[in-house]
Amino acid sequence: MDEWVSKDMVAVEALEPDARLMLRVRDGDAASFALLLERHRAPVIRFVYRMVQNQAVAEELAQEAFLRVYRARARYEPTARFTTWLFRIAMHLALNSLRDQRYGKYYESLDEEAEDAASRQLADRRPTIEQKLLDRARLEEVRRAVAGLPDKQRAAVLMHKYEEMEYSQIARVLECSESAVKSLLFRAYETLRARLAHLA
Amino acid sequence: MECPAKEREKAAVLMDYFARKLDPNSSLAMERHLEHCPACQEWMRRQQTVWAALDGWDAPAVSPDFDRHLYQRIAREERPAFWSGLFRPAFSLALASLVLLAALLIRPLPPQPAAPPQQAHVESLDIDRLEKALDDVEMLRQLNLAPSAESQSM
Repeated sequence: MDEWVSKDMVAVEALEPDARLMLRVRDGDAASFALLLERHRAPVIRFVYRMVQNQAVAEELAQEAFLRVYRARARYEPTARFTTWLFRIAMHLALNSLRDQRYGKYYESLDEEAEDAASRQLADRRPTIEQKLLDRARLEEVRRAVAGLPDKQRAAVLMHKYEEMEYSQIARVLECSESAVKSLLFRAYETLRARLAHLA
Repeated sequence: MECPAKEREKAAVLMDYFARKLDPNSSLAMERHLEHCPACQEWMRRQQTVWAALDGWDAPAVSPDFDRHLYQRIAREERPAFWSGLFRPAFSLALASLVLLAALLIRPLPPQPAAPPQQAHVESLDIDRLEKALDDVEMLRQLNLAPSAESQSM
């Protein structure tokens, strides 16, 4: 019996810290869930925000992702990295919401904001305003270029560029091979290089 | 070194070099290749443009009430809904018994003949008694009168 216990303890110790925390959550430790939330809240919201490009929607979807993690705690088995599991949930939620087209009018509101800013600029030609408008226009182009990528390419780029994930982990999140991830990234960056070349 | 810009499978080396994820030896080999390869130099230049553009895209700060909303949602899920109790066997059995008991208690009674008004009944009783009393008085009076009549005739 003691041997089994010690083997189990060794196995738990060998796990990544997040998986150990999640096992504690499975055993009813709410403080461990709070720690996981503290660690991964910002990366998940950032990722979902760049996927759906709407802050309120991103936070709602990120909450749903953490809620699903909490709901599934009783069935949790540390078969993969915790972040792989979490990002897979977040990505599917983001893609589903994009497919639902519930939040499709976001770009229009940005355009309206830009028009308002342009009219203000006519009245006030200070260089700082001009620079702000230029930055806003560049940002808008980047956002449109990223939004124009196919779903999996977009997710791959966001995980690679902003979350600095390894190919192997991106592959597990996207449920494809590493070579497929490299191909996705190559095509995605190729498209972005073409669309954003004029920003050089 | 083969040119990674010309083969999709090997382009990951360019991406890794760019992201500074290559090991020192591979990184050195890439630097040497770049010195003589215009295609890779162009790839790097354009990738730098993309990278700089993406760097300029910051995500907004997380709302201060994000956690509060999340814990509210968790609390709502953990609070058992009233209707969820209906599907528990013990609760269902108790509810069925209660319904049966209530049905028995409020079952309609068989129809009964309408009772006459209470006051009218009392009045009729009084009249009967009065008539009976009058009859008794009359009978007694006749009894009292009979001996006197007999005595008178004697």
